[in-house]
Amino acid sequence: MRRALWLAGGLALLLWPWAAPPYFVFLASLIVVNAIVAIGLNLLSGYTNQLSFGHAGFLAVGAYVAALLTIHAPALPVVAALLLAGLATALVGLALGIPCLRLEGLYLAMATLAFGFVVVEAILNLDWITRGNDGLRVPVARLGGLALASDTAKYYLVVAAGALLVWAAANIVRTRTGRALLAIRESEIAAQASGVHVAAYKTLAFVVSAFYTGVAGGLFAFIVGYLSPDAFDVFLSVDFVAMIVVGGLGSIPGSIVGAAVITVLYDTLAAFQNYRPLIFGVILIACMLFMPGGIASRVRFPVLKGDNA
Amino acid sequence: MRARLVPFLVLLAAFAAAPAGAQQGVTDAEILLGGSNSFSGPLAFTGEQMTKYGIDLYFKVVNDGGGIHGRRIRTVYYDDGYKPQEAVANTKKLVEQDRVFAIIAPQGSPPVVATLGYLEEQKVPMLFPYQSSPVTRGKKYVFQGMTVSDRSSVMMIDYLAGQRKYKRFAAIYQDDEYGKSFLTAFEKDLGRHGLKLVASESVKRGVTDVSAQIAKLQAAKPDVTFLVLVPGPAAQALKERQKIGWTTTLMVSTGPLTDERYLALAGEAAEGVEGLSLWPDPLTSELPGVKLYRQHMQKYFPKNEPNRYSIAGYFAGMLFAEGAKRAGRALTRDSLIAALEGIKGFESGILAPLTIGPDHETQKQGFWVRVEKGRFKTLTDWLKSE
Amino acid sequence: MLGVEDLSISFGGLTALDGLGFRVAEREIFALIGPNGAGKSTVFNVVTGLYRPSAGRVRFRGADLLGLAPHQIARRGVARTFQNTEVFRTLTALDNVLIGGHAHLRGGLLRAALGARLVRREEAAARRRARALLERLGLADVAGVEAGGLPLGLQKRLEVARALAAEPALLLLDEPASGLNPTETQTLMALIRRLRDEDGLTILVVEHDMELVMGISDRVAVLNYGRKIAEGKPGAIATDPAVIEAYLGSADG
Repeated sequence: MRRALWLAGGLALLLWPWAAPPYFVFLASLIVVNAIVAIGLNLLSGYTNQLSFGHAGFLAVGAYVAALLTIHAPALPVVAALLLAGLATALVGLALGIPCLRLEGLYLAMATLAFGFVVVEAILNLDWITRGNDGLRVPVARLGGLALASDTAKYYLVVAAGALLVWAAANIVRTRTGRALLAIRESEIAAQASGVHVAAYKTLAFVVSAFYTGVAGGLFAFIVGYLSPDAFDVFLSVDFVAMIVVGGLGSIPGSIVGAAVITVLYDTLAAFQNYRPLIFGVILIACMLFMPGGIASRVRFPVLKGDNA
Repeated sequence: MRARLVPFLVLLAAFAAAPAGAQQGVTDAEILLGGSNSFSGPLAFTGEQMTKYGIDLYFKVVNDGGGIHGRRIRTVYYDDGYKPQEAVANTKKLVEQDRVFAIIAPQGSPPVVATLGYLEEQKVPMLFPYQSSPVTRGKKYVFQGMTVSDRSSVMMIDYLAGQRKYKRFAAIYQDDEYGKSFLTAFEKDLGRHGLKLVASESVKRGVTDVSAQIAKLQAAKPDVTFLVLVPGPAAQALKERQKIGWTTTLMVSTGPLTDERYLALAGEAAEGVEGLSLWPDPLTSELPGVKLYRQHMQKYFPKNEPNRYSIAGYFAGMLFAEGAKRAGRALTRDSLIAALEGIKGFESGILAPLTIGPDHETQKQGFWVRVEKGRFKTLTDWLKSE
Repeated sequence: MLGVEDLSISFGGLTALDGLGFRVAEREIFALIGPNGAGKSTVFNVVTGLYRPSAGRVRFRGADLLGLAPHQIARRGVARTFQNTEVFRTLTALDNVLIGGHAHLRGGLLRAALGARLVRREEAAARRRARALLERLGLADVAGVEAGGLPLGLQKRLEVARALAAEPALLLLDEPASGLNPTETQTLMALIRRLRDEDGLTILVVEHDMELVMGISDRVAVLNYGRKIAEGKPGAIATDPAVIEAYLGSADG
């Protein structure tokens, strides 16, 4: 039964571009990118209880690194560009994670919020390479001799990267590292008493979270095709938090569902123009009031057995 | 889950196989236009005024008068909050889902640049984007909506160096595409008069303290100082100048800056500032088209005060209607492009008679104004940019 | 095995421990008793590295524990339970025990992420060990239940299971019998004895329940106001006038 579900899900993902209208192919790519960010954020906030309002900043770092690599080293295959984007962002995550060890709750939220502003400021000040406010056109991603120019080609790239990252996250959370992160969320002193190096794992959570978001940033750059600092404002960070709150803190499938719900909701509400932020906010508040554990608390996900929450 | 997915996929496939043949977005009864614009974020006011109270205002007038060749014009707008990724998503949705005929009046460089390549590839017209950098030049399906910076420069320099005989020019400019495109154009046009900029100082976007730049510019003793900024820093520059008592220079605002917002911000420090205005004063101008615009606003949106963003949208609506009228009953994207290119000496009653031609630019003239008692007073007739 | 010497610590001017010293021998069951606020739990927190004393030494198997982080002390073979249970509330009983065995697994992040065979194998082994521990403590039926939802008695046992999963040499039990009924206390006493006799553990226990203290301890130290006022065999302690005075005094106050 489980096997059949996996097969059906995989098949649906693979056939999607041939069954769905073009716009939905693009939208699906966006959902997968957001899902990768949501998983990364959930590892940090849902699993380790370190709330971040700065993930738009990580996304920006990954996006600009991938774009600049592709511009200045056109021969670089997209896989390498994405990996390097993830690693560079992970380094930034390390640099942010260490000072943030001293902070929790509201103060941590403020520090990460500030980080988001710092990244935008850095993009503006490094305008000799980022082109600042004028924005950066992202070249088409290349894989060997293949140019991934169409929405369908980009979709397959995004889905392949997404599948790999979901699988890796599921592996992480159901083994030693994932349990250590959860232990820290539940009780730091009991985690220490069990031999968990709390500071190291909290920092590791930042690094892994940043890596995921950095790779997602690279994918984001390729599917949107154009970057400007305006793309990465604080509201985007809040949207990411909304995804994991709606989907379910500490749940990988919840992250994916939350990303899908928020992305589709956001897309649908675009037609409400200036009422969009208002309607969006009301729906979020209602979700938190009536479903405090997120969608993951109401639906049993049979697919990812061994998920810890 | 799977059982529900199947009918969903069938439904989607049905959508994808919509009837082909006729021009997308044009039926016997209707023309559908779409736009991604700022309804949230920093330019929300501008976006709302341009679309709902500008473009749609003119289309209400057209539709109530029987439409264009019997077709009513309908618009659909999505919010992009000035973010390129949202603009890309919205634009794809408009083209692929709503199946619009053309995109009208998107706003701001990032959203416009992000969607430019896609629209050109899909051969969907991008009509009158509201941004002043020359990135839209040379595109078959794009018609520029705002005066491009180099045209503004020609008008300003020819007037100031030619008619007014000023010799020493300086500029304080925003350090991005907007500011730099003006700077390049100034150098070129001053060169034609055998002059050059005696000083130029840049301001990073978002910075409000410009005192150092103003002090440096004063030391260069220019006759004229161009303000190539956005309202906040521009007001700051004017206040700083007033504070240090620098009176020997004429402050001049560029076209995109010459609007009521920076007057409100700078207050009395703006008195005596001159500048190039691209639009007649929407509240006081006696031009016939502007009076008509005010009447229409009064009729359809009596609570909405006339302003230069809604009049810009109103003008965009007017231009589209004119192009569609000329293209005839057999309206296609290509016939619209040809019709717009063929517009010669078009009398809008708002701007100078307009000839579009192969350059695809729709706003090529401005006139000179001076700030007197908090309003722009007109000093010249339309200035020429070619 | 464990040597505490001349330990002093104060919190905001209040002296919690004042020159405290005692030694616990290998495979000994050693009890710390005393009125509330005497400093018993403070001793635990110093030994496990949560508090840094202003003076004194803590030696464990010949090495100094002071200056080590809590997780390092845990990795040297010191495991503990908590007075007001600190189970990982939203995790299952099984996961709680698995975390107890954290230090004995090698699989790092990368190998886990890539599903390496080593990780799969050691995870499977860890799960077997954890289930065996749950079985031993009579928790097999609740392996899949969220720890926070268990009755207090089971939570206390779960903490013992989690501590045992760390395969410690020294086990610190902080009021293990509080909240238990007499039957449960009897079971607990039998368990503690078996841990010493069969597993060779050294056990330091803080407890108010005199039946437990007198029933299982090899030696007892009595604390009052951060000082040791008596130490010896349980029988001798029970009749010590200073001890009686301390307990009566605290009963008055």
